[in-house]
Amino acid sequence: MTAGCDPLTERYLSRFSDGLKGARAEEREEFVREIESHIAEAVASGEQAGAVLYRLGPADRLAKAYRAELTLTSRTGNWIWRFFAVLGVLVTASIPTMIIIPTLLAMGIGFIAGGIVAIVFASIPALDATFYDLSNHLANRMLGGLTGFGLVVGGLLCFWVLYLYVLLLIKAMRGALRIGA
Amino acid sequence: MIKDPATTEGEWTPQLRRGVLFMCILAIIERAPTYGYEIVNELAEVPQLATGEGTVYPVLRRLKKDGLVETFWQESGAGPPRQYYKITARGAAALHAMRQEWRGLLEAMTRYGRNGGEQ
Repeated sequence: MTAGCDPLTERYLSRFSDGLKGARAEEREEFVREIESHIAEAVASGEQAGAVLYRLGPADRLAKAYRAELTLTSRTGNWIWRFFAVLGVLVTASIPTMIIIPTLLAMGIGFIAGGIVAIVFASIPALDATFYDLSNHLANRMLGGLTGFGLVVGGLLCFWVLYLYVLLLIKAMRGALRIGA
Repeated sequence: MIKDPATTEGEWTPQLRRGVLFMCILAIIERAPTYGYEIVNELAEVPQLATGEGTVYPVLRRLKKDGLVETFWQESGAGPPRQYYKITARGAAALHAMRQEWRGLLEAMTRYGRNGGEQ
């Protein structure tokens, strides 16, 4: 990989490569090859290897810049970290999710459906009358309609909370995926 | 929304340069497929950007990772093989959007760029 280089360049490239732990092996090799090609190109056009390396900056800082751009972690194979981070979020979130999502969904649908039925019954006197005779009193019908309206609002509120919860989940998942940054 | 890293005053200039650098590099690659050494040399002629090779190469990899450019290796006459960068359709679209954004910013900033900021 670093054949034909002077010792200084060779040392630089191997330190650079060491700093790229976390990248896939073939990717890492490509990064190193590119920098090697850059150095050779500059030297071929008459520059001193030492000067070229100086302008590239310390090898570990260069590697750090790569890691920052590619959001690699320097710890271990970065996909392993991500896998565990995502797993962690899934495990922590799964039990509340199993309760919260069906509950809110059922409440939302139930409230809205109930509310609509109440409004329909309240607004059609004939229908209402078949259930109880007080129903033709305006006050009762208004109360029914109001209840129905309240139920629909409650149902919509449930959906809204559900929406916020899903957003929160997505955010947590994204956070987990960026753990190596 | 993804939280932006805190931009303190000391980081402002480098961050501004870094953002612009993405656009410059994409624009250079858009003209014709080219390789890192050439890009570095061209950018060295723009002292305002204060770009070193240590900045250009990681950015190139980032552009590739984001699918804005693609790479291929090609033998050079005498020297080592070079890794060429070529803009993708996605990269061209991103560059177009960046240019529009840039023009808009430039227009807006003429209002604040003057000394004392008087109208």
